[in-house]
Amino acid sequence: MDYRFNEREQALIKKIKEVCEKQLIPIQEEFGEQDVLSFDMVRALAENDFYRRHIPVAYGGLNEADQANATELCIIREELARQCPLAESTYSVTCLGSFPILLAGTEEQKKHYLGKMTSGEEVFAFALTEPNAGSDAVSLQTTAKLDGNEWVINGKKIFISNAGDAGVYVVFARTSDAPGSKGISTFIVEDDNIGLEVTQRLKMIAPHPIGEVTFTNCRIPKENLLGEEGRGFKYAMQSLDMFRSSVGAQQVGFAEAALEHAAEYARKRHAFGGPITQFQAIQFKLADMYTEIQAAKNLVYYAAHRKDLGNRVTKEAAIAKLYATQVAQRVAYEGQQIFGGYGMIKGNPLELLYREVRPAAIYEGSTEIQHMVIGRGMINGSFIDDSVEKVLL
Amino acid sequence: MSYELNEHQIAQRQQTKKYISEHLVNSVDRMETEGVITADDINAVKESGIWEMVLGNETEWISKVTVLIELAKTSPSFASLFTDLIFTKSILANKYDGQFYSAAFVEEEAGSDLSVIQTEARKIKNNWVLTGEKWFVANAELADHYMVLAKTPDNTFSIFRVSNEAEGIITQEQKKMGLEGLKLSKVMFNQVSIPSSSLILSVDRSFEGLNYANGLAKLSISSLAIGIAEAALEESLVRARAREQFGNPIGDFQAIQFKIADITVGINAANTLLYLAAQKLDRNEEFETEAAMAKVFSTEIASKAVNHAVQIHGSHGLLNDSTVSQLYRSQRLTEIFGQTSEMQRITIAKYVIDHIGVNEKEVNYGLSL
Repeated sequence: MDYRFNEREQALIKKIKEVCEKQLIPIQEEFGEQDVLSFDMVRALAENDFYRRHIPVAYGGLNEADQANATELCIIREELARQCPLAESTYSVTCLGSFPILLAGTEEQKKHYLGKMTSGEEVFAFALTEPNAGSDAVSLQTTAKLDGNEWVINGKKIFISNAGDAGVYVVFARTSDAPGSKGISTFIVEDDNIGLEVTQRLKMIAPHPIGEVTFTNCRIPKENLLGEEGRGFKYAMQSLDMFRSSVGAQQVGFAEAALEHAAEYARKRHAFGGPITQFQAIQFKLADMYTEIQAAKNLVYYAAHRKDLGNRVTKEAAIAKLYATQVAQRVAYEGQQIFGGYGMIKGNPLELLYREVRPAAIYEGSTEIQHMVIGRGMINGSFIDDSVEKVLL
Repeated sequence: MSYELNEHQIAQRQQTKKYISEHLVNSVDRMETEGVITADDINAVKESGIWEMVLGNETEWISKVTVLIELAKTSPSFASLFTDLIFTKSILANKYDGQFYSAAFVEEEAGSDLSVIQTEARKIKNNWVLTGEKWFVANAELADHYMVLAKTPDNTFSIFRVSNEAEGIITQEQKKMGLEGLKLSKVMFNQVSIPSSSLILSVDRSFEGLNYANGLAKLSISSLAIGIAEAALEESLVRARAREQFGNPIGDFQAIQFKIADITVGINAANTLLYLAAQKLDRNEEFETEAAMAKVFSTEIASKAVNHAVQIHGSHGLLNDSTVSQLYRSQRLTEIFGQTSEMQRITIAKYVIDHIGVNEKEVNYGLSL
């Protein structure tokens, strides 16, 4: 049992801190709140090897173990979210978007696309959700039909991060009438394909490049099928499994930032003859914020650690994501409460954080879905294992 | 970063499970329903090696809390014996002699604020003479000695060892809710004369000298709470699978699934906080904030767990002899003993106000924020 990060992880944390201060935070400050991608940020992240870290050496990355490292992914997302949210989303959307290629791509696809990803030449989008298929992703209706040497894609995808800015879309579509998830396959679609159109850019609660993508007889080469036909849903779920604990890490990062700002302000703010930290109403908020963040952080890194050991982490990752998103919401709310009216003013860090924490309770498995996964799994016994070393359920 | 037991710790947990299945399970009903724990029970746990594991100096705290959780899962009352013993043993430090001590600190008007106790010790010749009334003294009947906190001259407070056979002691049981096997008593000391060697420790008004022992008490109550919560979850799972309504097991309904999910998440979160505190303690690092977090968090999740468990059991959960109703009652003490949740939050808040966001440039290398 060891709660500490190892030396490599500590070095990574230190590096992120330095890069944020020198390069990333200034880019964010200049960019402000916009619902488009900051290509300056993409370049800065690429230059500093962020996109390279989990990519195997053979494809231009730095990962010698050739296995994606969930713990590092969590560290990067937590620290970026805490210090520079724009960098966090710029980093994570492309990582998730390109992950199915890392999972299922041919040598050639990996060399080509991951090379562009690590260098920052292209950003990626993960196109799964549809207007009528959110939590129930299996019911997606976008189709891909083979016509000669081309796949023809038709359908609509919504809430697609990087829509309009991505060079490469990883698209999930139905290739047969096979029931459930079996008829779903995955495709690599480049943005200049005729028939791919960004039909809407959506303005979200917090700044984020996101939109709706419509495919109308969009023809792509036959070899752009990713992995095996009919296994697309599996790739989607494997990708999300890899990233689920890191969504929690992002939320922990937001929550830490909120607590740090709130504590700093509470010490300075005077009311009724002294700093407001003299009041138990404020003290108890701070105590609960800190305790819950610590617990969330523990659960996030526990899930990542179990994943890195090669375990199935359906339960652990669901717990991490569910709890961290709940904590981030509470902490942002209480932090804003401590700031009073100032917390509502544009430019106050809590005003933005309060909005930033909201989407993660919905995307990549909503809070309700995580409850379902955990509750059902516990009751039907599918989480029971006989590992004697575990102290968590 | 990891939260797994090593081989040695696994073996200690297995040893505990063996003791539980061979001995403790046979006594659970007597302990939890009739509220009877005997000297024979103490002898059995001593013979099993568990006593030494929990109270000895050789065992890591990671193992101690693991053992306590296992005990509490089976018999919260029995596990709760150890929480007081851990506290008293810590105060005794190298004066510990293997005997059974009961802490007599709290009074009717002095709980979280011990500085207002009325019990007094006067030095008369070579003896101390104690007078006062202590409340909520645990296990008075099993104790060889009381460990009594009293006011002493020069604005100090001192802790004395008082044999239960000393003249002038009257005890009176205080019936309470839950943890039937843990007896609480009022203990009255009327001019009780004890030798001067009975003084164990003196502290000042800040009571900081008790911080370490209090920290250990928090870990043990946290373990007790997690054990109770895990038992409540286990009962809930069994019920959710077996009970049918509207033609389906109630576990098929999201109303039940979501409750189970919330308890599972909470117990895991509590576990990480407890083991974080235990690791810090084992590494001789500051652990008081972590202990406070573990204590308040796990006792409050235990409250949710027992409440949901009763709900999932419906009216059956209200029957006095049902396990979940026992757990429901037994849990409540954990939020009060070992210092209240309110006192824990004050401890945590003090840390946050002193440290968090003070120097934003600081890099955090540990899992602690």
